[in-house]
Amino acid sequence: MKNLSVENVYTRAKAKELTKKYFWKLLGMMAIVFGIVYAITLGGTALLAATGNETIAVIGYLVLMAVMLLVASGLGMGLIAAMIYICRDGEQVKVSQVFSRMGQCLKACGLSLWVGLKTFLWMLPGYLVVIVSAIVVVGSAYTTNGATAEETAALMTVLPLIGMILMFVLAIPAVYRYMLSTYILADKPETGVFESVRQSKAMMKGHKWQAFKLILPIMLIMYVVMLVVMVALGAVMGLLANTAAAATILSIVLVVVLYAAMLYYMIRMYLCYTLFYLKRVEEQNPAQEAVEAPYAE
Amino acid sequence: MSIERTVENVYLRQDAVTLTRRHFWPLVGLTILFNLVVNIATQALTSLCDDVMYTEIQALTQAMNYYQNSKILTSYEPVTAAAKNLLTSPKFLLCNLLYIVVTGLLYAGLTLGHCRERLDAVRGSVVRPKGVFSLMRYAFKGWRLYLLSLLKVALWALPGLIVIFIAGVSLSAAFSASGMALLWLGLGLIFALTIPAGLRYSLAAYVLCDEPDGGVIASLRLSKSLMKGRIWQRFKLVLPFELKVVGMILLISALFELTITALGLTYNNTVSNIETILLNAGIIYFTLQGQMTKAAFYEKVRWPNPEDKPAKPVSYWLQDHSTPALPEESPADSPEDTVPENTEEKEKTNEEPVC
Repeated sequence: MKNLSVENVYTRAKAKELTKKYFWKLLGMMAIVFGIVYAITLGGTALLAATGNETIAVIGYLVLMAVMLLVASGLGMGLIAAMIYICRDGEQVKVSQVFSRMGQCLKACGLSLWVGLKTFLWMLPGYLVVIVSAIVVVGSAYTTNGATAEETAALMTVLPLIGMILMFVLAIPAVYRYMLSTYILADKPETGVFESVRQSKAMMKGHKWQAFKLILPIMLIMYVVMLVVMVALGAVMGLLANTAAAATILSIVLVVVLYAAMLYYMIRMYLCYTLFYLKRVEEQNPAQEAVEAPYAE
Repeated sequence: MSIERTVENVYLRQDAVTLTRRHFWPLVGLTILFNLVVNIATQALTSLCDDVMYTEIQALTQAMNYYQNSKILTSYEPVTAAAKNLLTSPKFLLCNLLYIVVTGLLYAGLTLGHCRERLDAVRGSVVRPKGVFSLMRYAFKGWRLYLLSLLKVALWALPGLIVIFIAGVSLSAAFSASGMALLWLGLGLIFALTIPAGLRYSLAAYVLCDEPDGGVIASLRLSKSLMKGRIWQRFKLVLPFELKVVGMILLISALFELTITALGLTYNNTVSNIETILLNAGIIYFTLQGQMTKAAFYEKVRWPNPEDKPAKPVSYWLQDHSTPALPEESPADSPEDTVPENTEEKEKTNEEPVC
């Protein structure tokens, strides 16, 4: 039986190596994605704020959200496709590759919505517990044999908490189950939305816990590094920030260093998941060939 | 750290989990026996010391009760006088010395036995809870090992402590910014220097329990040489278990709070005891896994090629091997340094333990 923890170790090491090699290119791509989405949001909001009509503003915001979702999905798909090319072939990718999947932005948007709906359905039991608890609490407060204030307070704290825990317990495996659908669509744009989700479910069978543990060390290291940077720079600020200008400069340096650290580790995490996807594809292909072989002749 | 070391850690942890499950109840028995003996001894010593210093303790208690009842400023003097009388009494010093020596010896001897049983589990032998007493005659040596390694680690803390002292001086002179910066620096230095130092000597106890006739300083030296280039690997080795312990403590505490609030219970002794039992059970489970991982790590580092491992550890000194031998200390050092008549092999085959 393959050792999944060992596979994770090699995946993280390879992701670290690729991050060092392609960091600036991937950073440029992420900057384009965030920059374009942010520009659309800012520009659209400013335009809508300039219109005096409320109805037009409401319709405008809905259209703006739809445009943002389309653009973000298309650009995100392009970013993932670029990461797949980097991880698979190590081929030279250009920053403009982030626009390579803009033609499939509608499909990508549809996939995000479908996956979002499926995940939301898994969260429903938790939501129902929260809603039922709210009804019970409000109802008990209005009946003649109503609960005491302490009992009501207890119910208001505990039941929603149970509902939220249930939501997380059911939603997190669902998120991991459909995690690879974006990668499948980015890798093979001709695949349909439902087919991508079905393939993702099949690929993630028995690998959800492995995917969860894959980026845990990277997240931990990221938090520790950010904490150390905050403490160290905070101490330096305390020593050197005698004037308002010095304090501002040091604050900017702190924010820049923190964001740089966060982005570095985020890119590493994305590359980890990309390598994880390629490993699952590799696993599936020999299995598929074994099935197709008897029918080859 | 290279990927191979990380992969080695993964395999060591998995092997340790398997071994812990295989020998679970004997290891639990071993741990319970260990803690029971230490607790009984400390309780007995505390009662003895309380009886010996009964007069002084009574005087202090009466003075404190009088002060609490009267709340007059001047009545605090009897309290300080009684406390001074207690703390400077030769009986107090003697009792504390006795406590430190007896519990130190007991702890050291039992730890060596515990280490030996863990190594036996790693080597495929049976784990016997009563094996915790198997190396009690080396308790003094174990205690010396513990004190010496503590001293070495404490020396590494000195630079950090000096910086903290300077920080204290800065803070008292109202240089708050530089004082705080120096305080953080001092704390950082203490952690950065003492943790590697502690890890460097972490294998010394295993070396000593494996070859109890060897010397203390030689054990420390061998541990240092074995740990060369492996400190970071060793640090990362048991990190997952420690994180699991923290996660488990938070989860159980949160679940208990939730249950108590949901059922409208009060946090009384029974609830507290149940929570403590569950927490201890969880801590024991993950601690055992961590301990077995360390034992497996020692075995891996000491004998990277299983063919080089001598068949009988006692005969190690007589075999030709590439690993540097531990020189024996001079015979006049302590009584237990003399080779015992009953060897480890005889002990294992005896029905009754020698200790």
